This record gives sequence, structure tokens and C-alpha cells, in this order.
Amino acid sequence: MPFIFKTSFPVILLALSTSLRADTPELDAICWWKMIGQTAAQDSAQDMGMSATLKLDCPADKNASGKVEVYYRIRPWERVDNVLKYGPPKVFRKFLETNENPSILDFYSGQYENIEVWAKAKINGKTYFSGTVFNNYARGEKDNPHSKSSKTSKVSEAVSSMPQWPILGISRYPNFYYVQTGQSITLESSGFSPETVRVYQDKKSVAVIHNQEGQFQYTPPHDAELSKLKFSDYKDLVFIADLPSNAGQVSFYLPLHRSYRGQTDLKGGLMVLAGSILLALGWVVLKNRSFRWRT
Amino acid sequence: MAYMIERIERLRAFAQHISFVILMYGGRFGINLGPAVPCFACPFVTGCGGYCYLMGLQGFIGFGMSAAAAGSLWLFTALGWMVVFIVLVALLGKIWCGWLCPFGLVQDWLSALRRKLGVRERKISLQTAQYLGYVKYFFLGYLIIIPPLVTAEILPPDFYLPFCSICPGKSLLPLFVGETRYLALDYTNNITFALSLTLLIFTGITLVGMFFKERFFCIFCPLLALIHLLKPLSGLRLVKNISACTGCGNCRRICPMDIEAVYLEQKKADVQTAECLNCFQCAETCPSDAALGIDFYRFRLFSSSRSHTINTIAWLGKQK
Repeated sequence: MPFIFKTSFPVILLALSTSLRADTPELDAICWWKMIGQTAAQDSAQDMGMSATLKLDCPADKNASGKVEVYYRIRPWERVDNVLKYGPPKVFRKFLETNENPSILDFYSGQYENIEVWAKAKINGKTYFSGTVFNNYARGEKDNPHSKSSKTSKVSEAVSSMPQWPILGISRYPNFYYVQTGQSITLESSGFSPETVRVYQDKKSVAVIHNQEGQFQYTPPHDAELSKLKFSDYKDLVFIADLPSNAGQVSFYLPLHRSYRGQTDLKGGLMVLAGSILLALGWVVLKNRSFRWRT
Repeated sequence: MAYMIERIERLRAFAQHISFVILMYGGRFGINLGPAVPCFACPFVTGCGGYCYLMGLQGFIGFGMSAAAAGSLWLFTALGWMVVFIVLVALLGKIWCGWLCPFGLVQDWLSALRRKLGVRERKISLQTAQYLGYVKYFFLGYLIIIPPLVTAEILPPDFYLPFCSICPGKSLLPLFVGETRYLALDYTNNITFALSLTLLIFTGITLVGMFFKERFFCIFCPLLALIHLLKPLSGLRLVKNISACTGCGNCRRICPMDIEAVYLEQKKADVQTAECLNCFQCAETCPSDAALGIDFYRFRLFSSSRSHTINTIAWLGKQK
């Protein structure tokens, strides 16, 4: 047994390392946003806020110098007639340096906000468009600064609208809060028309989805590992499409959460309930000397 | 006996039904009594008018222990709601249990159905009742101890609302707004499966128990235990005048919780036990003048009397 272990262990390690690396080269070769943290943040002045940190992974961020143009749109949720609705969006632009490591953006929200972030990077003659969308949940009622400082770039400037870049985005999703396993995501491309979109889940290639009348549909399967984590924990879900003429790639990132109640079985539950009722009823009837009142 | 208690029962039933509508459907009309309601106003009911404090307490103990909560306004808000809960308990005591709890009303409905069907109530022996009485303290301890362990990441996150996960109120009360999803088995992971299975087994046992035994769930209710622990703050008391008691035993027979202490007590004036729901049926049916009374601090709200009992019977006679 020790011999088998000794001889097989390096082989297993090698196999593991190659299998882990096997799917990553494409992600290493493009630009994509990655959420590296989203946490409830204490703010004694404004109640509980939420802070999200995004990192832009680019292939040449250490070696080549260049600018990454970043736009982000923040839509606060406003309570109108006791119903939460999106308020007027605010759009901002800022620049990140590709040679800075890491290229990080911090978003702090003191109220409920939906945040879309888009970046355009030109590296080694190719153009990379990267997008993501997420929600920041917070308890504060008052308006808050749109974002906290970014460590890597100048202060952002307000602009009137988002640029008309080729992008991938969500067109339909049943859940308003989190992107969850087991729920179908429908993506739409805008500004370009790819034939296929490649899907990476937790850095592993999991699917290639085809264009169906301008839409791409993907249902992330339930993940046993993710199911054991908190609802707020997530794994990376990245969609990648090629630009025409090998001009570059478009990526779209979503933090994928565990299913909230997607792995439930009502029929099984009702059977358990009926069984326990029958058992309890049987016990009561057997223990009772006389079931009914004497009349 | 049933006639004698008819009048107070109607008043209580009226209060229970009003409370049921407000706490179960109030949110649909813009009513929100907040997360400190001292009865089973279940937050899992969509559009409810308030939240049972047990949920707030679990969240407060769990998240309140985290570093993120330290010194935050959230912590002060949570402490504020705790104060609101204490004030509500101080004002109304176990009136919340006997007169206002929606889950209590559901239990009373099942008991009424049992009576209509002519099925007799199953009595629990004194000794068994004594042992079962400790279960609510076990549940109270369970819901207080587990959340900090989740915050400290000693236990997995699925235990974050440990009592709600197994509370029959969570599975039964949402049925009144057409929600069946809490009757499902949850296969997300082993813990959610175990908790949902436990919930369904508890629900089955509770349903049968509630049918055969009046206020069956109240025997185990940790909220009742919590309210009882705050008894020194509450001004509401059930008081016995031992010298006036004739020992007729009405109080023992009428009690939905089968409390013997009111009948047996020979020393203390305060006869409100941990199980008492403040339904006041004992005081209402007591035929001895001033033998049982309901006090709110120094004020006497109600005093048992022979004339009251006779008037009740006479009034009921006219109603017939």
C-alpha cells in the first residue's frame, strides 16, 4: 500500500495540476472581471452598507503598459408607493492602468444598488471587452456616494451614457437578487453577433452555448461544493464570445450563488408529513382507552 | 362548564381573530409591527404584519456577535427592538400567547373541530407534563446557543436560524396565504435535508397533538419560556386568595394547559406558572368571590365572583 501510494502520488498530483490548468489558458489570455469580495460593511454614520471589490484580470497586466477604459452604471433602488423600483441611473467613467497589479475597483453602497461595470482594454493589438453586473444590498435609506476610491486610477467622472461597445448581458433572469444554480440565464449580445458563447464555471470550461435567435441560454447546474457554502458565497461564472476577424474577445462575469430553494421536493415532503401524521395518530389512538366521549 | 366560559371565550376569540388578520395579512395593507412581536407572527408568511421576535433574537445573537456589527447602527437598532419586545411583554405579558398569537388560534381551531367531532381531549399525566415543560427551555437554549456558533464558523451556515428551521409555525402558517414551499424536503445539502425532515416530522406530530390536546404546541413554545423569564418585568399577574378558595377544581378542569398549580397552591398568592397563557378562563369560571383575580401592577382588572358566574349563565340563557 505505501508503495502504491508513493508511486501513484506524484502521478495524481501531476494529473490534478494538468487537469486544473487544462481549462484556464483561455481565461488567462483575456480580460475578465472577477468579484474578489462582497461583504456587509459597517458604517456607523449610515447604518449597514455593502462593499464589493472587483478585479480586472488582464493577460498583460504585469508586462505591458496601457489604459483600460471603464464605465459603470449605478442604479439605486427607490421605494415608490411601497414598491422597490430602479431609480435614475448614474454613469461614470474612469481609467485603470493595465500594468498595475491588481487592477481593482471598490464599490461601496449605503443603499440597495444595481451596478453594471464595463471595461475596454487594448493589449497586444487585441481588444478585450469585459462586463459584469451585481447587486449591493444595504440597509441605509439615505443617498450615498456612488463609489469609494479606486486604488489604481484617477477619480471617476460622470458621463451621460454608457458607450456602444460590443457586450454580452443578461436579457432575462427569473431571480432578482442573486444568480443561482439551477435557474436559467438568458444572455443577449449587443454590438456584435457571435455564433457561440463559451461558459466557464469556477475557471473550468463547462459548456458552449449556441446562438438561438440572438439569445444564449444557460442553466448552471447545482454544485455540491457551493451548496455547502453560505448564500452570500459564490463561484465565478464567465461567458466568453469572440469578436469578428479575431479582433479580440468579449467576456461577461457573474458571481454564481447556491440555489436558494431550487433543490426541494414538495411531493417527498408531503409524504414525510403524511407519514408522521399517521404514526402520531396511530400512537394516540392506540394509547387512548376510549377515543370518544361517552354519551 | 362550556356555557360558563362562553362570554370570555367570545371576547378572546374576537381578539384572536383580529390579531390573526393583522399579523398574517397586515403587510398587504401596509401594516408592519416590526420584528419584535412576542407571538408567532411568522416572517415566512408573505405579507405578514409583523415578525415573531424569536427570529429577530436568533439574528441578533448570531450577527450581533460578528465583528461587522460591533458599534454599528444595526446593533443599536437590534437593541432597540429588544427593548420594544421587553416593553410589549411588560405591558401585556402572556396575553400575547392566550389572546393574540396566530398559531395559538390555529390550535384553538383544531380543538374546536375536535369538540365538534365529539372526540375527547387527550390528557397528559402530571409527570409527563412536568418533563415536557422543560422542552421549551431546551428549545430556547438551542436557539440562543447555535447562532453564535454559526457566526464563529464552528457550525455550517445552514444553522443560521436554528429554531425557525424546525418550527412548525414556519410550515403551517404560510399555508394560510397559499404557500406550500415550506412543506418540501430540501436536498441542497445534508444539513438542509436533516432540518427540513425534522421540520416535517415536528409538523406532523404537532398537527396531531394540536388536534387531541388543547394548546399542544404551547407546551414546547420557547417564546412562552422567554416571556415567562421576563415575568418579573411584567405587571400582569394571576392572583389567588387562598382563604376564599373553596377548592371546587373548576380552574383545574377548564385550563387548556392542564395547570394544577392554581388549584393546588396553598401558600403563594401569585399562581401564574410558566405554562400559563393568561387566557383567564380559570378566573372567569371561579365561582368564589375574589378567590382568583387578575392584577396589572396594583390595579385589579378582574376578580372572580359568584354573581359574575351566575350573570354569565343568565346572559347565555337569554342568548338561547
